[in-house]
Amino acid sequence: MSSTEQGTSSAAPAEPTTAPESAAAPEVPESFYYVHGKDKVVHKVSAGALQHSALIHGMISNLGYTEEQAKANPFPFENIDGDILQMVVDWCNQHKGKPTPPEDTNLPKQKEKLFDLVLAVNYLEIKELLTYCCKQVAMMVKGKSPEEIREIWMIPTDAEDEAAEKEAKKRAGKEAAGETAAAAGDAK
Amino acid sequence: MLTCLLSLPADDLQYTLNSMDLSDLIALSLCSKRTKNLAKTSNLKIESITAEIEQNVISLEMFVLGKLEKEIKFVVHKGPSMELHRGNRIEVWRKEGFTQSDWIAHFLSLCDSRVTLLKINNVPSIAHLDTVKQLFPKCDKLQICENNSIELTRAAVSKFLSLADEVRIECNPFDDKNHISELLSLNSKVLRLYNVRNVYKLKLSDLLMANSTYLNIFIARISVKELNRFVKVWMKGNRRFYRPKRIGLFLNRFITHEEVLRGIEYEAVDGQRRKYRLRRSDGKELLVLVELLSVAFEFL
Repeated sequence: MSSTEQGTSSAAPAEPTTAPESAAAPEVPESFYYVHGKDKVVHKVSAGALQHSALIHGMISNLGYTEEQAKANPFPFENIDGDILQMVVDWCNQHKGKPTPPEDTNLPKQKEKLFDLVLAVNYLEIKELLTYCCKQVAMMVKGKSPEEIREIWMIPTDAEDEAAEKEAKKRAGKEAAGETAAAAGDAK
Repeated sequence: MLTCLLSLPADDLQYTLNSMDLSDLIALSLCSKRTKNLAKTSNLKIESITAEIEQNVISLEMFVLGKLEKEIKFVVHKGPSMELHRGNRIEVWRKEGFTQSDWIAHFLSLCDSRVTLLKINNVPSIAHLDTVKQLFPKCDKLQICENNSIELTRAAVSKFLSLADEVRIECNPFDDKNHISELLSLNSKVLRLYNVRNVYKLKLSDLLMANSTYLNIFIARISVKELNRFVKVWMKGNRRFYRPKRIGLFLNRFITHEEVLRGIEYEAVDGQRRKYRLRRSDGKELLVLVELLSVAFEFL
């Protein structure tokens, strides 16, 4: 029930497909909202699908947008890559109004994509999808040795951790010294 | 682009850890100090750990309860390598600079340093028990396996008695020189002597030395006459039974309650024909449970 439009938020989103045949009682027309990521590609998503995201659901509830206002003001998620947002939108549409299954096998297998998806889903507060993603992250190292895990998850060695800690302390010291000098300059 | 697991938000990282298998978590814990601390925060609880000493090799079996019950086994030799038995395959993990002690300490640090069962199957020397004690400072049960000598049994019991709630001895090196009463007089919570092939010979004097809270012997050879005398000694009340709450003996011959309780006043408990209550003049009570091949005394 969604369409993706290349271009800017001003592009006219596609109309929703026709509603399924129903009995005598007329169905309440579904409302739609618009989101875009870093690539500015606007995705039209139904309110039902967006309910998965606690963040967007909260925004919708607070704003009380009309359809026209929603079209004119897509929610911007500049911190989320376009392809990742597309995955999220697809997942929300697929699981709209349905109970979530115990497992989801359609998640990306590539580490970079999966980690970015975790960050996006965490930000958008989509609890069920986050659960699947974290399970998928855990599955990446199933049956692997410590060395393989270090490689897959890019875990620093103790020496690297110590070096990074030293560097951070050094930087913090410099910043503190800079602030003291600036404060002294202001006092003069 | 995020590529390092440790850069994930804390909640997501925690959920990922909670979704991991024990063997994967242990593998992760070996990556660095940070990952070791992270692995400890997982909600996966190790139900039990059995450590078995066989010469210079130590096997650790960990058992986890979860959606599926899982058991994994580590075999740690001397040196920087160890074997992980998971499923049908054996993997060799290596960590430069690690010794056998380091491996064991690492595994135990993930579970409060306590092993559920420490099995001493075979040690190269009695002195090696000190190394074992250093490696396993806490254990719930100590098991001394069948082929150990009296010297080793004696040394192991004295070293671990204060650490273990339960001591199970499967060897039977006792004879006229090395008397079993030496072991029975030890002050342990639970003492089990278990040897099917070589029965433990007992006398009344041995039973009177019993000093563990719970004593169980499988299989014991003692005459019914001596069992009867043991009960009579208790009835007279001129001997104090401080510690034992229960003494259970599985015997190498059939017995009846009439034989054990001959000449003693008793009553059947709750109409059962296997449980008998004896009352002493000072008001103390003893329950005697008699089965075809076993007898137990419960001091109330």
